[in-house]
Amino acid sequence: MKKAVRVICFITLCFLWLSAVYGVLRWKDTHGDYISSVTELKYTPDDTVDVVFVGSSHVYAGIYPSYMWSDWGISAFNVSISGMDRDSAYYYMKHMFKTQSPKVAVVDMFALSFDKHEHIGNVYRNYLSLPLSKDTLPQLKAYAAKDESVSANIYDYVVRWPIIHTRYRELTRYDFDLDAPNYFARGEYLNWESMPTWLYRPDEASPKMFLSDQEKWLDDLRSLCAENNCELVFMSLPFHSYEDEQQYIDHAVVYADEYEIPIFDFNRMTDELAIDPETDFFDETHVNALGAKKLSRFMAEWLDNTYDLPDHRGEAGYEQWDLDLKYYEHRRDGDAMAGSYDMYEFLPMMLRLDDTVSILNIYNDNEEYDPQKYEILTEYGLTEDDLMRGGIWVLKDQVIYRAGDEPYLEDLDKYSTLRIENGTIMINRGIYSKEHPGLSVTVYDRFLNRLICYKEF
Amino acid sequence: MYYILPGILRKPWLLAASYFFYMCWRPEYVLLILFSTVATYAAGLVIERFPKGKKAALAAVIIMNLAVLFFFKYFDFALSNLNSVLAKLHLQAVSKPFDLLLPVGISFYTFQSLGYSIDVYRGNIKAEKNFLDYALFVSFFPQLVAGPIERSGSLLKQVKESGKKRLWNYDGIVSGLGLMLWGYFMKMCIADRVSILVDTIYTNVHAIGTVEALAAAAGFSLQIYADFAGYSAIAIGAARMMGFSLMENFNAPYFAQSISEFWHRWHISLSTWFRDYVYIPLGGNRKGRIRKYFNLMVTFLTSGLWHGASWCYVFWGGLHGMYQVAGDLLKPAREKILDLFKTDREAFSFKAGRCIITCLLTGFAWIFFRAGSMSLAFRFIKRMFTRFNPWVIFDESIFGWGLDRREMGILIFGVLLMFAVSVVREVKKTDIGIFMMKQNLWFRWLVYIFLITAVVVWGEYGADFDSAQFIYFDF
Repeated sequence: MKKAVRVICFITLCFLWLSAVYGVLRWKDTHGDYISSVTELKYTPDDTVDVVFVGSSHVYAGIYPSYMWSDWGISAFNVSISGMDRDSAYYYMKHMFKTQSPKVAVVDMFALSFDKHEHIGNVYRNYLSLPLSKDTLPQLKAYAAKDESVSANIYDYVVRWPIIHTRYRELTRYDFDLDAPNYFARGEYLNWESMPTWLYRPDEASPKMFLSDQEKWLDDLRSLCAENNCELVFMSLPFHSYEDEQQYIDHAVVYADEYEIPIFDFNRMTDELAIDPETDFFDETHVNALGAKKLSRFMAEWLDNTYDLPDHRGEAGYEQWDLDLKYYEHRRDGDAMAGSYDMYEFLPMMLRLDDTVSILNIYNDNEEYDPQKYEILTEYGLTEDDLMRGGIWVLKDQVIYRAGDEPYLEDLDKYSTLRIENGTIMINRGIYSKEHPGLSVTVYDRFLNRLICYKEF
Repeated sequence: MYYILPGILRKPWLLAASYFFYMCWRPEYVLLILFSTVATYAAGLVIERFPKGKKAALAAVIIMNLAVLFFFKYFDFALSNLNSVLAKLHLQAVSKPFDLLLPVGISFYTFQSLGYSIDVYRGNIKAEKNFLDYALFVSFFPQLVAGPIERSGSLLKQVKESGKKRLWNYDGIVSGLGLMLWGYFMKMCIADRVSILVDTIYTNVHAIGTVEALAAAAGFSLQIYADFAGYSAIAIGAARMMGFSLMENFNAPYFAQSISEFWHRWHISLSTWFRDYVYIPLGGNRKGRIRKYFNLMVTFLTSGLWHGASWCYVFWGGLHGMYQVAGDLLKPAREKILDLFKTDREAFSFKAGRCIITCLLTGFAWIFFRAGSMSLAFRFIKRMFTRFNPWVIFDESIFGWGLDRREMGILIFGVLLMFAVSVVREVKKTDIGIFMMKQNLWFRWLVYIFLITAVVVWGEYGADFDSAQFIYFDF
């Protein structure tokens, strides 16, 4: 009996320890900022999502649920992952239906255009992100039928350790402590960069018959949504497509018409939505925040009008959508501040953004220094004498105060500390002191847990 | 020179060399060592010649020596504490009348000469009549500035005999040189290297997490050992070359299985000094448990204060005292738990576990020793327990704290070598100098040539380095 207890204790201890190690080593989207829509879904309260968008990177780049929340109060969520294939899309939806009962599921049709992944990274993304369940093996088998590299090692994907154990070489902070957006973001990938692209927009539709299991996939999606009382909608977000890719989407339109499923082919709606390939993309195939705004607002309006979706703003249980909106606003304003070189534009933005700590440093140890240039700072609580003398000020919660002779120490968040001592400004070990006459501003965002910008004026 | 001089001139030569050595730092402070020497020399004669007045003579010489020590070492500390109290009472602070520089080695030679006076008082030794012999005993240069704190019964006796005995001792010279070489390796390749990591972390405590704090705590444990044991090896080796046998100062202290054992292995010359001249006179463990704990605390608090004029050192000493008191109080409970789990006390794992716990406790206490201020020490400890950041090991950002991958490799190699030498010390019960003498020529030469190369190549000296002085020179 004693031996049995000992064995059970040992096994329990081993299991707990290996689970903890697995938690650290498990596959994470290292090239996706360690943020995963599966993790975000895990932390979403049950039955709060009204609209779910399913698909590849086109979805997380093109649909911002925060836009739908801010103006319509629609609780939308993106279940999306880079290069989401058809099998993956089906099983991710199945996984989502375990905890959510969305009224509408909007599925991206991009998966029609390919059978298997070109990059192993996308195989890992699609087949190692979901938690293990009875669906794991069927999902793998469905995909393995199209990809020999997976069928040869299918049980490695089930057990996972053979694949993930070498991750000890690349562990980072987010393997031990998830990046905060995993707990509240709604699946979007925010990006304000811009890169001109070109869109393939043939005048006439030329549907291409499905060669593989594409039609079965569409049938399965219909059945799955019907089983879960969920309206199915198809869409294809704008991207730099090739002819055959567009032809599959054209055929999806035919299929959708046959089964009376609403479908939006945004490659053919760019004029209607005023999507500009010159400004609204951050690379060839993904729209940026400007493009996402147009697409998201269009979809929100259509969904609201078509399905009479409730406005959940202010309701208990929907706080994550508020946080997601706040996250969007902080990222947007931070990006704007980082790109601003005009003090008169920058300073009001700095004051407007909450949850930040700003450090103003006036360095006047030079004849070139002209205090009059910084008179605007008197509106922020600095005196003319302050401008003459120079110094360091900390602006926090709309209150500004001078860092005196005593060392100033403040924990900005869990891992970052501000230290001001002997005229040196440090955030952790980075030095942000002004070395030339004039004003420097360092802004740390405590909500985003990151330094937004260091600016010299 | 020492070897070619006739016997009669050797002691005056050594004395002159010792005083010259001391005066190289600040010539005027030679008066302090001269004062201590004359006072304790005279007191010894008075104590022996006038038994009725010996108590007064001892008290006088102790007060005089401690007054000098207090003035030079603790005056600023006392003044800053006084001013803190005055500030709380809203009274005007007392301004500092002068700037004092702590005389090198004052704590060491003061304790050595006071030990002599107490030994004469107790009748353990005869008072020394020959002033030159006594002056050499107090100022013997290899151990003048940082010990070992020698006893009159040993060193003074050797000083007296040094002019008579046969001088040339090949084994002594070679083993002394070997020991010195090892001391240089410990100091220049290990202590000074790890100090870069430790100093960088301690000057950026605001930016550290658990891993850096642990690295600095472990690093300082190694640094202070390699630094001080390295110095002791050099001192003992140098003395051995001249035919003097100084007392052992370190005996693989991190192999200790308890704090009490640690103090039998660490800075042995000081801990035995405190045992013989403070703890036992207070009653030791002969007057009941409460008194024993009190005596322990007094001894360790005093030992802490001896190390430096700062509450950090006092706290460090107090922590060691508390470890021992707590260890003694918890012993019955500990034994019960061990019995409950049928723990084999002789198993290697049990002993290794005790060693590790002792290392953790001493390492934690070293934080106060190193920090320089209580507020920094507490900030450091807070970071250690509240900013868990194991990823810095995996993403290699730990190499951004002064020691890159290569330097860390050299350090780890050095520490492993130090560990191996400690194992030899533990098993063979002898120091590395003597152990090497018993090895075959090819092995000896290989090791010596390696150590010489390591010191000249890996040693932290020269244009690119800001070589640190020995830590215990500050005391």
